[in-house]
Amino acid sequence: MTVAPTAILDPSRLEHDLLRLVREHLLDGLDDDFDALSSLPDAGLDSMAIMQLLLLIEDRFGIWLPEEDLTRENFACIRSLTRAVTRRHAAGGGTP
Amino acid sequence: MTRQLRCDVLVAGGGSAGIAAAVAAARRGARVLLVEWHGTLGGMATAALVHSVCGLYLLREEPGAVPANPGIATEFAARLIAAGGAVGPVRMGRVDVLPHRPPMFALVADRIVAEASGVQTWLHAAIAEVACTAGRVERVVVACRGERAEIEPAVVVDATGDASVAALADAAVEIEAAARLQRPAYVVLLAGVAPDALEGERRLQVAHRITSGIRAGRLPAAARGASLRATQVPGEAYVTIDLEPPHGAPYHPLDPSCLAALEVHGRELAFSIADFLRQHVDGFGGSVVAALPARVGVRESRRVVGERRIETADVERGATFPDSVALATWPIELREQTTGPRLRYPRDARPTEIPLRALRAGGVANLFVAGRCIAASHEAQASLRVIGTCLATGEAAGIAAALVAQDAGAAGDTAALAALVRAGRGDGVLPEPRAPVRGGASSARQGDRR
Ligand SMILES: Cc1cc2nc3c(=O)[nH]c(=O)nc-3n(C[C@H](O)[C@H](O)[C@H](O)COP(=O)(O)OP(=O)(O)OC[C@H]3O[C@@H](n4cnc5c(N)ncnc54)[C@H](O)[C@@H]3O)c2cc1C
Repeated sequence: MTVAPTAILDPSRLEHDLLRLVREHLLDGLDDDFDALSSLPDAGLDSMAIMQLLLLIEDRFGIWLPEEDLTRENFACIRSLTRAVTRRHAAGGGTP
Repeated sequence: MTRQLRCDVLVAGGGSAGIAAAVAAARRGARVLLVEWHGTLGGMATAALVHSVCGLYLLREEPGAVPANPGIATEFAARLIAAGGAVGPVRMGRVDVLPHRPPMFALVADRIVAEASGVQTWLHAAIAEVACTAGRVERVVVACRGERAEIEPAVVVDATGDASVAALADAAVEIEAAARLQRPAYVVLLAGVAPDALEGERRLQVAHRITSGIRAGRLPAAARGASLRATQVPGEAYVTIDLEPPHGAPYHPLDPSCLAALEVHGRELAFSIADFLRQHVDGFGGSVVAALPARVGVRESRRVVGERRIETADVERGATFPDSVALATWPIELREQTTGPRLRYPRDARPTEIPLRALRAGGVANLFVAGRCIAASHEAQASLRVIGTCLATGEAAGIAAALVAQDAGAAGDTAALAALVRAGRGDGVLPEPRAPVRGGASSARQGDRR
């Protein structure tokens, strides 16, 4: 299911959606206080989980993050990831 | 002519649990027969190329790995490190693990078993039949290349991983629904990988290339289950591929045609991923598949129905039991999908005590169970299956078996037997915490799970 592109333009909504995606699909049993600023690597988001996340982001939001976006800074927390996805969207979605 | 043999303790299966059970029983004076159908001991930790020992240390926020179980689990880890077969422990996110080299695991297992005089080991031998009378195992038939042997054991430890002795003895067993069983995995070793190919941000690049390869149709969608890890040996890396049976067939870890399909599918996937890496990923240009596993890795199959099942809630809250004989410390690691593990940590990082009742097959007085097939719920097993915990339950079952072989009456009172097991294992003499390894090859893998 791909959401309408306009929905993505709202970063707080995107942040919320990404947080839910990570909670539901990648990291079971996160602490209740896990939020957009919590460290993703510390929560166990390893490179395999990042692979899954890339595919999920493309599937849900129609945005493909190219290789140059795959930095530790972008995947530090949900907020930094939201910024990277928003930027990629503004630059035309990143779909080849 | 059928060979006949009596022994005090028959240990069925020579994986982590069976090794510990055989050594523990022999050290207490039992005459032990250890029966294993592969040519190496170690089970998943050697034959399936599983390459980290988890569950050896307590869960804790602070750095510094503290052994969870004194006795053979801790001893085996120290021997592995001393032999150069493991470097660590290494902190990965919230847990401490000991990455190991499967061939060295096999060698250390050979040595520790040989030193425990009193263990006779049979390799290339399979438990084929179990005869019970009046709630006791009377006779076990072992088959080896067309030869049969009839064993009359006083006590049996089922360390087959699949609760096969319990099943053959018609003791109660259970298995999770096919769709929820933890998925199997095919692990291969690559050699010729550039030293920095999986360092730091390069790991992310590798993950991105594989994902792009799947999107572009250069890799099958099933490659999504793959993860890579460099070893302590320059040029080596493991590829672990979590698998579904091909063509949407249901997963049945006890069905030979399903197992065959998984082996073939795992190999095909491994070679296509290796080809892709060689052609499209920096640092893999000179890499090759250097070793295949002897068997596909199975995380979960049959479990015995014991006198007390360890429930999911027991692990979530870190339950205690009066007949505790070992500690489980690994989080619940769910692998029900091939899209990576989902970890659930116990409240306050508490360990779970394993009651001796979970190591006794219900209704068969002289049958103990150890390792990944002890009495546990599907989700509790997802914590208990790790090698460190299998070594600990193996040791506990081995001590209990030796005690019952010496005095059949000891089997009657599980709580009293558990107290003897704890005393026999030297509880209370926890070894000194060791400093965790930081920096070097391990830091590149920080935060990366297995
Ligand atoms: C892909 C994968 C990755 C894993 N990763 C980790 C990890 O990183 N760290 C960790 O700690 N754990 C990990 N695990 C879990 C762990 O490896 C196993 O749960 C554990 O090794 C099980 O030990 P065991 O002794 O209970 O059983 P097994 O290792 O399965 O040993 C059972 C032995 O019994 C033998 N046997 C079975 N039936 C018979 C018979 N009828 N006659 C004779 N012999 C028989 C088998 O050949 C085998 O050697 C992983 C598992 C898999 C599959």
